[in-house]
Amino acid sequence: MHDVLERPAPTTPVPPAARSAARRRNGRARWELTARITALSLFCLLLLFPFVWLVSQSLKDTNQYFAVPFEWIPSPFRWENFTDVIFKYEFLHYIGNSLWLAVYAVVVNILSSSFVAYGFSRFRFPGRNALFMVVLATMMLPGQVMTISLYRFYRDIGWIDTFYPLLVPKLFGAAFEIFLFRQFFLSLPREIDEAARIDGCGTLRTWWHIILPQSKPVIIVVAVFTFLGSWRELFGPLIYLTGEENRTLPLGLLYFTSPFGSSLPMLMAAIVISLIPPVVLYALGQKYIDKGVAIAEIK
Amino acid sequence: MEHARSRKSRRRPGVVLSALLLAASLVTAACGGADEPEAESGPVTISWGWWSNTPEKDALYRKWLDGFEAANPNIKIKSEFLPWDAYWDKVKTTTAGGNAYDVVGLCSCFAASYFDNEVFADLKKMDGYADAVKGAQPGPVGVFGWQDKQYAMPVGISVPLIGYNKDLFKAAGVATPDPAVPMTLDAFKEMAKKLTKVNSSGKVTQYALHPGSLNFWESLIAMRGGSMYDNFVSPSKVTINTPQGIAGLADYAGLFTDKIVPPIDEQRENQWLNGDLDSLRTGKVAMARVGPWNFADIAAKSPNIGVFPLPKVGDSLVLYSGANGYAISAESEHQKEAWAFLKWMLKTENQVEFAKFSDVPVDVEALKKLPDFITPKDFAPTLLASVPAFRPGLLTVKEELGKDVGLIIDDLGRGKLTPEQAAAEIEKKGNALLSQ
Repeated sequence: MHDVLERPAPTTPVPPAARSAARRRNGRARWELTARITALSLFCLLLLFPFVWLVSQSLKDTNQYFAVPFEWIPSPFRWENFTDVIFKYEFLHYIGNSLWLAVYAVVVNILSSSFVAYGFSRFRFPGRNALFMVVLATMMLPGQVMTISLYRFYRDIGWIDTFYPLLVPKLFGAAFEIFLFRQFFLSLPREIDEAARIDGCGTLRTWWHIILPQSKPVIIVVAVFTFLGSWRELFGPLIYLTGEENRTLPLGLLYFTSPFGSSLPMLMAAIVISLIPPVVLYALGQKYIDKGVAIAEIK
Repeated sequence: MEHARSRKSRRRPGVVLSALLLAASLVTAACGGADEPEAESGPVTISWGWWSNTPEKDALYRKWLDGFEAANPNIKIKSEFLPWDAYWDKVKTTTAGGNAYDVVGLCSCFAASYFDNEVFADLKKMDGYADAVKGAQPGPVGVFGWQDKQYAMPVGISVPLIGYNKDLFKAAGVATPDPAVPMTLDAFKEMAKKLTKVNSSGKVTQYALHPGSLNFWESLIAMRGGSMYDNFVSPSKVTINTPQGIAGLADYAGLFTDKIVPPIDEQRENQWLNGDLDSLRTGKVAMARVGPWNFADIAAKSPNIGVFPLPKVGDSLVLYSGANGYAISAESEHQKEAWAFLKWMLKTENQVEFAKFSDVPVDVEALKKLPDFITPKDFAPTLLASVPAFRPGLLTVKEELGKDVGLIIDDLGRGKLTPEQAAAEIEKKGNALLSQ
């Protein structure tokens, strides 16, 4: 050991032609790397361009907003846009409402949709495929077709001006998410269910302890879709709820534009603020989301 | 680790599902915003909707409603201010769903379909109707009348004025317009030409006027002695294709050829914005429509904006615009209380308070007092000079009519149609629609 460490490394003479060829190869590799990094950086800048524009516009007043040529760095910075959005328009409250509705939707939708999908993928019963087609067919119905009849139904059972119309339907799963879960469950070998059964698991326990833990990719995909769907939902909260305390983010954003005078810089500030929760969530779960999407694509 | 795993495996999924359902019910129960049913002797709460302007104006509106509650301790108002488009979506859905606000804020611009479908109560059948409306101007009250029924009551009228950017006028060396005497159309055009700026490469960097939602052609036609329709409220015939109508359209087309207004295809979604206060605030449009609904905002944030009346043709000044008011849902369980609110808002003192932050009052006595309370005070002469020229804008169930006319007028502005062709086209399409 000592000898090996002490012994000078054997040197083999490199012919000058080979040395210059190696140098050329290194030089070309370095140039290629630089070109690749530059191209990627430019592409990143291109992708970031709208976001930088948004942040820049959010810190201006109306005159600066429309200035020609465009000023990338506002002078002066109008931080009041953000304070007005937060305090005058009570935007944090809207974000809070949207956030808890979205979190509820994610949790409940994952559980209910996966449970329904489990039934469709693991049990054979008469009319299973027909029933599944009926579930899928609900996706073909435009929301507008059902709006008035649903509204009248909720009114008749006294649910208007409560959160029930937004929360309760999610307990029964959603067609698209059921479809996603079912397709994923079908790809899991039945042998794992059988092994679980031999080990004493019942139906529910197999779903909870065996199937769901193996379904992280699809769970993540469904979580992302559901979160974004709920985060953007305008119409439901608009028609079923009243009162400032119940306003949600998409509705809040509309307050900055009106035929009687809009405040575009403040709208931009509100958009920047409203982007924070999804961006933070994405940053926290990036690894899982990327993996989930990739695996879902392979499947 | 083993221990943890064995504990985990004991959790039952059935319990998880039950817990989920229970949690959901608790959450929904806790979050439910439904009003508690009122006690027999307690105050009645009526729901009330209006569109939002700004947080400041909404707060002033709410304060005005507080005045009603103070005067009527047995009636509470649950108010909701929604963004313009969202408000109309909600009114449409809730009226169709049989659960509209008890008091529905209404703009005459969208009222006809609701009236025709009889979704509101006929106010003529309410107690003390004649007494309640006796102080109101008949014109605005008539806007909300439909087939011998009165489905809504006006709270104010939207009188359009020309707002101008004082800085741009000064920079162009244009004298401040008379705030009380409308200038002639020719004088207006001469002045406006000085306010459109073109740079060395021939590109327009500033426009004199953004017509926005002014529908100025209707006024021009009327001031030339013609009329778009036989009647603006529920028209049965388009009457534009006359020498006077064509002259009015030619006046309007002249605004484009003289580069007084931005080209049609630049009037939306671009640096000139959509007109009105927004365009004025860009600092690139010298004049645009404003109205009393903007006054509080102008006073607070834009002291460089002044007002003057729209131009007249000959001695005639005609302004087509809308009225805003309230209707009572036909399915409301609190029609008596809602009617109490409508009667309250028509009283002179409450009209004065309303007009301080919003539209021109419909009450004759309140209108007389306008110079005493309007803010900014120097806007009062313009308003008073313009109010007599107010005429109700188009009110029809044929919603396509306004859209089709707008498209033809756009082609006139683009220079694709001559005034004669535009008049003929409007007459042809309009009458075909109205005869259906």
